[in-house]
Amino acid sequence: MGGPLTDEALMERYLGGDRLAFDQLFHRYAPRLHGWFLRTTGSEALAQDLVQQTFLHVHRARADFRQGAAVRPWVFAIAANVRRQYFRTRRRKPETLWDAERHREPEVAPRVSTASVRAIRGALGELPESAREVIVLHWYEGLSFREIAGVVGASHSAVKVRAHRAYKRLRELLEPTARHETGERRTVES
Amino acid sequence: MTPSDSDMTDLAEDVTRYREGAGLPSDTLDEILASVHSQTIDEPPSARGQLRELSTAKRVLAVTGALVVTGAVSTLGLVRGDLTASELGLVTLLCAGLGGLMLAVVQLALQGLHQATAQHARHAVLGLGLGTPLLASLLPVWPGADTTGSGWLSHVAVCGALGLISSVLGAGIVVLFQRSDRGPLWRIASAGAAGGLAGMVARTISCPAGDVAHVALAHGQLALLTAALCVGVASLRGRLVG
Repeated sequence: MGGPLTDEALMERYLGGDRLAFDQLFHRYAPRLHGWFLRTTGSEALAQDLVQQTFLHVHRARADFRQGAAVRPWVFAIAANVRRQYFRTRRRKPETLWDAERHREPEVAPRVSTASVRAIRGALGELPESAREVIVLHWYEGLSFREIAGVVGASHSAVKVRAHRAYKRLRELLEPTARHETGERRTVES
Repeated sequence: MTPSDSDMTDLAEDVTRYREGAGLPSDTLDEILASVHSQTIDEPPSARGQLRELSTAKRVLAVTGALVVTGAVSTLGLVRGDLTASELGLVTLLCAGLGGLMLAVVQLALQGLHQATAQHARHAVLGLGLGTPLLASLLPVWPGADTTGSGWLSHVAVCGALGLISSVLGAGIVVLFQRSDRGPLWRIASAGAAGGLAGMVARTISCPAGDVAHVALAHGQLALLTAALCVGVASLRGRLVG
């Protein structure tokens, strides 16, 4: 008795014509992609549409999938291009929408400090799109730098440099919030 | 250098919440899946759909083959008589260079959305595809030839028209094999430039004209013209993205 099939095994079955394998891949990836699109477009309907477009392209490009390659970066590369294409069509900058979405979504989990999370999102919103893309894919999606390089079309070292600069900038942006929160905690404790 | 520990804790919780809460309601998920099915697996692909679903390597191969056949047919009976003379090496070199460039541009035009190419690489290939023919046309590549005379303008017109026909035909073949109807400017322009390069190879094989002005006007601008034509048509049809 084996555990759940890996993405790669499902992809292999899908390439062999197994429709159910495609459905399983869809159920694994659609929610994550939806979250990613929602976060960067701020529109529920649009996020759903982009998820649909991504899977249409996944199906159309299936012959290009190299057997043995990782599925996740491949799917995210398609999603990233679908998203990029959307912003090109609208001639809008992702920064604006990220920022709008940040202000649009006030609810947070009870244990998480609202101010802090907002500060983090705000800081992410301050980053240039190329840097934010790397950070979001790394933190939120859990992709490795090597996988991200394949998704964004940059070299491994370029992605690492981009991430390093982004972390540095984030720290600079978050320092005032951290100082403020530490001060508040000290006041409460005393 | 990374954010402070408290930031990281908050962020980790935000990430967890994001991952858990990013899910769609299952009925919405099923609706999207049904829609994807109806447009892909349930729907038998059209003839063009079948071409689109070929792997990129196969599409590049098919397009290259089609362009070679188109070029051969369009130059049939029009092959320049001096090809066997001393210029053969130069012509072969020029055609090989343009052909290689055409392959790179075709690859760019047929790239699928699963591939991410750095913007500077796109610009470099497209710039070469558009710039090299222009540059080549400005060089006196056939210094020995002398075809200037009273019919110069009509020769330019006929040669340009024939070249444009081959180029548009070539660009049409590339567009036919492109996966998406809509695309960014660089991809649409790449299709046109690839067609123009194919047209220029055909012209080089069939036209013995050696004066710089003729080559520049009738041959060299084909890639630029066809690229502009493709971008114009795509823009009019609302298929140009960005």
